[in-house]
Amino acid sequence: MRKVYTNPALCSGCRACSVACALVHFGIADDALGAIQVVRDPLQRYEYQTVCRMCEDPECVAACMAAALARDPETGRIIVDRDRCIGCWMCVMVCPYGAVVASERLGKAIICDQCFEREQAACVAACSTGAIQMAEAEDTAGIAE
Amino acid sequence: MQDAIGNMRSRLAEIDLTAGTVHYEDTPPAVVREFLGGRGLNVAYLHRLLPAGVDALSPENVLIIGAGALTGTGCPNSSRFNITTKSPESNILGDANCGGFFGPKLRYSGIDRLIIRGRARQPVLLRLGDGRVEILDARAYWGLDVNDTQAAMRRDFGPTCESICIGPAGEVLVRFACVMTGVKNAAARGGMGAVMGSKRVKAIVATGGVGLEIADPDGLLALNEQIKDYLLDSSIVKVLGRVGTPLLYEVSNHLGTIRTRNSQDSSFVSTLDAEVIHEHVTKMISCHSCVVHCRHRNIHQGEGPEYTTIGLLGANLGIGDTEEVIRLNDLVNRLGLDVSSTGGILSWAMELYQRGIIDASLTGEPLQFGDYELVVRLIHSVARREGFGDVLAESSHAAARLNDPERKYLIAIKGLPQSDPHDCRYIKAFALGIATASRGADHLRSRPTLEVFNLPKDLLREIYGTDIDDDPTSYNTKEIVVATHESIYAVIDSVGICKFICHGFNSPKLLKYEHFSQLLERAFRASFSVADLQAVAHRIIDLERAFLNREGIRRPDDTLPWRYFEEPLPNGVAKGHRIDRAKFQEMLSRYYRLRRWDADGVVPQERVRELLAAWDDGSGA
Repeated sequence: MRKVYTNPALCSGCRACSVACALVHFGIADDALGAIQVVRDPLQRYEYQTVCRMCEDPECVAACMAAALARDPETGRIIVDRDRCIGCWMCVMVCPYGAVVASERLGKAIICDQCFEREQAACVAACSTGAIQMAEAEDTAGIAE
Repeated sequence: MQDAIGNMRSRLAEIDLTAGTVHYEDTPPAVVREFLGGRGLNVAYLHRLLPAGVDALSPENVLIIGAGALTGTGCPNSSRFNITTKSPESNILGDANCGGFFGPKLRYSGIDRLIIRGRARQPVLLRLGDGRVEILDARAYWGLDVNDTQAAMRRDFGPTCESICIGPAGEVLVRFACVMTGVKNAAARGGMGAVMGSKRVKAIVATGGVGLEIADPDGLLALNEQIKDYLLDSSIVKVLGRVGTPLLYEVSNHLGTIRTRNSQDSSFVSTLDAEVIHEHVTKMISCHSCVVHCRHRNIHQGEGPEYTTIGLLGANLGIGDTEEVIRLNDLVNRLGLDVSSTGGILSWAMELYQRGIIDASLTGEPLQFGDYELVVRLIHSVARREGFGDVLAESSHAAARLNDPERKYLIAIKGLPQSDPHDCRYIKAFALGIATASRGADHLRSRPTLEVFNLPKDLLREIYGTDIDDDPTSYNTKEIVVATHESIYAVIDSVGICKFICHGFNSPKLLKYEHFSQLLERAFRASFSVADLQAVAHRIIDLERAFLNREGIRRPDDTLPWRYFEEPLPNGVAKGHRIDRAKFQEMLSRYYRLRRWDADGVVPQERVRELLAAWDDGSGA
């Protein structure tokens, strides 16, 4: 099962990943619509990425009262049914990694779908530092380096 | 005409602070077609809206903030926006280009350009989001430095907002106050912060909510990736990403052209070399969508230093201690002062003191090069207009008070102190470029440094379209060199991409007109051929010049600091070089002929009418 991995130490904070994600999924350039986000504060001197970690027993799915979220057992990705999502943000609150994006504009949750229809995830292709990589979940040795 | 620009949005909000009103409209497609965006559209509006002779710090001045055509699209290094107004420092065109994250957020807020007029009765901030602008009370933020202001914006408008703001220097109208975003990105030159302060706008905060519709998202992403990979393979991009702009310090120092102690010397210590600076760096970070990552997060305070800071606050003030220069860099950023003018004006005063032209009765204390504590005190006093700082805060306007009415010892052109730490007595094209640049002594309009790379003749012919004299000390054909660089830089500033990944600035191999053309096609289905883009550049350069002409600029203003003509460079490879007045004048005449301006450097009226015709193209505002 393939998965997007991030390395904050290599992240320059540019948000090209978020824009690429938004372009693929919405056709709109706007880093706020990316399922991968770069949390950054130049004043406090940090930047790191947040993206779905594909929990085996995901809290977000358990917390969703609208039955809008489901885990695809085959790919491990979390599927958001936007017709069902009511924007209650329970998933946002329970995600231990802050990896669910609450889009006020859409009134819907945005969760990384691992770009399962694409050969390469858009964020990985857009990253210029190697701070985002895609690998099989069982085969992650060396990624952290 | 709409077809020609595809779905490129060019939405503007015109804010009248005196009346407290906001008016929205789209820039007519015919005008977008001719001036593109960013710097180009900004000057088109400035020329249209501002009559000649207006006091730059009066409510009648117009402050224009505009994103580039590709800003925020996610294509490599597309972070940039321009602030354009009449400069209170030079009294001519004020135009400053800035990176960071505000430009994209401005567009994601549904607005591509702000036109700010009038003056608020009390401090305000402008909040942009969901396609609207709100004018809010900012009294609670007045007095805060740049970092504290932005921390307050994040607290009050959420951690994903992006803001630009002025520091204390802008509030008290220091003529070289800048507009800042983040801890070091600055719309630095020409006193943009003083104009913002004169309008009593403390900050502009963008919160997004709209985004930017892209015509061919998959096509754009594929092209972005291809360009990114191409750029990452470039040696100049690699080295900029590793050590940033300080690498240029060694180049200038080696040549004997690093401005030192107000250009009395031209070589300085190696403690400001890039590798030494790098020992003070914890991480290289970037602006929005950037593939270079040339920004240093240092171990002391803030970000930087850049080459300009090392030069102007280091060598130029005789300060060689690495940490001291880094701390001075952060100090001017927090207070919202332009690094270049701060260094240029302080060094001017120091030399005047050294020569006995001014004394402690004016300055309050001895002024000596190399005195870090003195420089810290002076910077604080300038930013608050206290004591002698109030005199220095006038920038080049302080000439009479400083007893140097002809500005003989000021390294400035058209009232704007020179930004590049590079002494222009050696590379003659560089000298012509800063003498004719539309905002005063400025290297970013034409920086013609490809010459020193010793490129093969056939490559030079390809770049310049004709044979050029590749000796940097020759005056021959340098008008062609300057005009070629000026043109592509005008387009770069109008699409909103960083010069570090573009042709001509540091390398002949990076992004060219063809790339911008492809990116505009993928992003908006906008159809701009290479010839179209070159015509856009030509219009921008002519209209900027027409603006200058209207403010009274003529041939005698296209000159260089006295020292560049009269004193030979003292050190290094460049030792003995200076600018020959007669040869400079011949070079200037050739440049005017190439630009089709008259012998006095004036754009023909017929051409000016042609430049303004797009407004009357049936869709005019």
